[in-house]
Amino acid sequence: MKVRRRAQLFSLMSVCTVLTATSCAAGGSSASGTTLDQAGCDKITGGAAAGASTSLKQPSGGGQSLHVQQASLETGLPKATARSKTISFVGGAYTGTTEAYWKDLAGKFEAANPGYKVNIRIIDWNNIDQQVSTMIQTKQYPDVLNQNKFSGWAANGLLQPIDSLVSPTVGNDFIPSFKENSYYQGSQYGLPLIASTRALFYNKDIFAKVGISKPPATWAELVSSAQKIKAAGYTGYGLPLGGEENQGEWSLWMWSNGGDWKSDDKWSVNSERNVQSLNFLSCLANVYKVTQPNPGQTNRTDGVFRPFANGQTGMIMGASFAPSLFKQWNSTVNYGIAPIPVNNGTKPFTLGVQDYLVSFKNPGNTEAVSKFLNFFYQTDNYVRFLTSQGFLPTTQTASTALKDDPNFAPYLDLLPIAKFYPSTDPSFPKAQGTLEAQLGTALTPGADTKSVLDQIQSAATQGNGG
Amino acid sequence: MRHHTWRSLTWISPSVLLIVAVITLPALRMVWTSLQLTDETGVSHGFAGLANYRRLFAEPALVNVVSNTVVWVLLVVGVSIVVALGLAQLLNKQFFGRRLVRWALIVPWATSLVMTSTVWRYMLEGGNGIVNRFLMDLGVISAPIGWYQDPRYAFWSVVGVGIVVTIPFTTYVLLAGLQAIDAQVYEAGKLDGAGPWKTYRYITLPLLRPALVIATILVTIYVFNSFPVIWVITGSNPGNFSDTTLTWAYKIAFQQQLNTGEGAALSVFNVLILIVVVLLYLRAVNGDRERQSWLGRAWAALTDRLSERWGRRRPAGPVSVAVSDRARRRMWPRLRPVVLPLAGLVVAAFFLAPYAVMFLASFKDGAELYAVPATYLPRHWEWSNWANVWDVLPLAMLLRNSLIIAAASTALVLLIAVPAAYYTARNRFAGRTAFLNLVLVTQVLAPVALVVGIYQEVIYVDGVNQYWAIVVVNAAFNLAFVTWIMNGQFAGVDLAIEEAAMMEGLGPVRRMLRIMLPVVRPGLVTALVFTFIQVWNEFVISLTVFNDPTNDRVTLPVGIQQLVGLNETNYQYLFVASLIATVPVVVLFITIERHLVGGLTAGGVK
Repeated sequence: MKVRRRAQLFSLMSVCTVLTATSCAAGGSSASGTTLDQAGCDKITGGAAAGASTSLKQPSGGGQSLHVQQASLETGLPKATARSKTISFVGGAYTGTTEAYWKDLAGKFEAANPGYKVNIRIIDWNNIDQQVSTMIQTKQYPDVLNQNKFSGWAANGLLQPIDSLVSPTVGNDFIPSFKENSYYQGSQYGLPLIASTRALFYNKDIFAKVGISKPPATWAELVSSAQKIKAAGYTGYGLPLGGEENQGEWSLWMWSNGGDWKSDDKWSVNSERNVQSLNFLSCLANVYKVTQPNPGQTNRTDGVFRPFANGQTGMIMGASFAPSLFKQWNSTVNYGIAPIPVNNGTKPFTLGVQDYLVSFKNPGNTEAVSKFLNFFYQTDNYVRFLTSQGFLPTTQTASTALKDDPNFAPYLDLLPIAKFYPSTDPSFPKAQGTLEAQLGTALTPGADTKSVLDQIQSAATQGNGG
Repeated sequence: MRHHTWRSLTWISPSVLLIVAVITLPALRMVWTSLQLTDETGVSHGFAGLANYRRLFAEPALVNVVSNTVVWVLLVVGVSIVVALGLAQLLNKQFFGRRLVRWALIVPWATSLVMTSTVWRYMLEGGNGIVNRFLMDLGVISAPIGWYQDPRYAFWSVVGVGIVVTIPFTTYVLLAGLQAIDAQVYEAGKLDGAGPWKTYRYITLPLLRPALVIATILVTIYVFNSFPVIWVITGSNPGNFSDTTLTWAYKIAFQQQLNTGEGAALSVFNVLILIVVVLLYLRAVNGDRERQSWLGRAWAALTDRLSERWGRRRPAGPVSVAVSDRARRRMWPRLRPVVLPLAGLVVAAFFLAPYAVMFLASFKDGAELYAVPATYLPRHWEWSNWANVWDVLPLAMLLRNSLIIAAASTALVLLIAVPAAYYTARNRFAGRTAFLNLVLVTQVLAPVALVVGIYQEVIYVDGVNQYWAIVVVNAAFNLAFVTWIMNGQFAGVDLAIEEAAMMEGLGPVRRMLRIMLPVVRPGLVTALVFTFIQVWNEFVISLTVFNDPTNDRVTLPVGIQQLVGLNETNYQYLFVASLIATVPVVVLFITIERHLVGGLTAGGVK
């Protein structure tokens, strides 16, 4: 035990010396290093804290200049001599029924297009990155891949521009904000597949019991509500900063305080405003003590959604797919949905997460890939995918088709104010990976929040070389 | 004995071929990757020299992770071996219900490590974990503890789970060794008036030494490379509080740094360390045979000192010892029929407990799975979970594939490894030590580090999604264990038995088949069970090279993993499927377990 403690201490010291000699040693600035106390925390929601002096900029979606092009009308792409009628599809398992859906779709596709064949391979999200990396390293590119990123492969020239692979009817049907977020250096490489949005979920019964009339709209209100709920014996706010999905939770807090991943097209993960946001999360956990235990190590689904569904938590950042989970768990929780509480007078927004379909350049695969993609985006096939997997549509036709569905309607309205991860930037996966793997450590009492954000910043700005 | 190098080739070349093809070449690929500059998507951008190694050694988490690894290996191996020695001793005694205890101990071993780790994670959950409920009911703790979430406990929790899952396997390796000890030796000891402690110290332990040495090496490698325990339980925890070098290599390659080159560098570093540790250990334990090495001398001096101390401690308190000895001799025969079955019951209950939790949870509905506090028994028994799982998963297809692959791989590995083990045990030839060390090194390489190279090779030979390819790969990964276990077994058999057959003119093949195999049956059964279980539960390689749901080519562990969704995990189905998956292994074990018992007398009487 002793040995290990010493080792940890030592490594902690080396973290400081190697990474942030300045912030550990100096500790002078109000934002970093120093222990947070009640007064310091209250100051954050008072809006008078650090970072307020810098001009409050409306954070922009991806920060990149986008060149939205009309989907090319020319369908006759230069074809390789050997045309392949068999293609491979690799995708992630959103639910236990994802594989069944794709296998069924492939069967229907093959029946409608005699001679063509689609080999389906569905991989769970814990293993998909390793599996796809293995395919890339061995140059066994899937013809169609479903993932949450695309720009890294596009930057390496492995993908084919995808707008020319789908018919104009399909290409022009995507909701513009989703489509814009699928470009790399002027070409569209990703087809928006699914979307989800976030909102504040609050337990109406608990709110009534402790006498709170309306959901909090600001951070200050959120703190006071959470304190009342906590005093009644519930978890005030369920905060998941464990590795499973903390990039979503973090984005919500970062944006609601007026910070962003990038500013002026440069990475700004460790900006003063963002340090302040992370300090606030640390305040929730360690000073106000309104979260569940160990928020830095709590995963979203099991650690926050489940307790909320069981009626033990006052507030969480819910997601558009959460209601279907609650239903599946036979939850009877009586909850309401409200906009994300903001600080520093930030405008209302929501986090929009979208996943993509991309197509790798394999000689002779364009015709079969094109046929399959067009088949998939036929409204009935696409809607069946969304309803079976519980995600929001990225096309206008499907949005119209689903607008009367009570599971979708409240979230469809949020899509216009959705902000996205900077996933068009090839560096984003590294920033996200480091954030997932390290952000939670910032919530250990006394941790140096700035140094954690510094790590993420340097992951985003440094490549693997040199 | 003989020195025919060319003849040795016919016995060992199949093993060498298999190792070179399936393990050495991918390992070279791993080294090559560690010298390449690879970007975060996996695309290579040319030679990087030692840059990946420099990056690795500059990582701030390195010290913490390495110290975790040392503690992990020492604690898990040390405690597992000590406990397993006791358990093997218990299971080697005759008592009412022994069979049941043996069956109970096979369950944790038969269940895939991924599933065992999943149920442990579920049990160790902070708010609604059953471990917290149990400890609070007992009054040990007053508030729930986040066993795997709280950085103060996370590492110790995985160490605890690591120990529990390592004990059954270790026990069986040691049990096979215990059963190979000639009963006549014990009788001779009894005639000389040796008490149980002396019998254990001067007869059992020295004779068990070969098995113990092998068990220690194999368990060390097994523990060092046991990825799923840490990965499943604390893999998604931010920070490196409970990472070992293996899980960290995965994080570097695929999660945080997204640098497969640096990940490969850490894997290379890992392998080098393990090889050095294992060779040092081998050298040390063979020390009294080769006293020229300082380590051998140190080891011999240490053991001499220890045995002297143990030897001296006995007469130090002659009175009390004599009294307790007498009392024990009077009491023991009366206590024995009660104490042994009782001890067996406790052991069985302890090792079955996680699977009992799994079983009970498989009847719970989604809400109750996460009820606070956790419930012991389901409030509503959802029998439909057990019926629905057959619709959710193509279980029959998955079971069929896994059975074919496990049976074929086990047969292949026995066919290749047993002759090699027999030959190396009975003959001294040029390259014998090199061969045995080569085999051992294959065990040192974790499949997850080699998967890219293996995949590339399987593509090259057009074996993707082919049964033969996955069978060959699985056989290669289990070659080392079978070779070493069987080598130890063959070496332990008295030469005289074979010499008689040699006089009758039997060739080496017939001697091996007719004389030796029946004698080493316990070891053979252990090797068979081990291989079958390993292949049955193998995940990473099947996921990569044998994964074609369109054509019904998926193995059981890969198929079950489909139940782990992005935002939801269907624990009830996961648990049902995992329990169903253990049934064939337990049935296999029960049908051949009597051979394990039979071996007890086989060595002695014949």
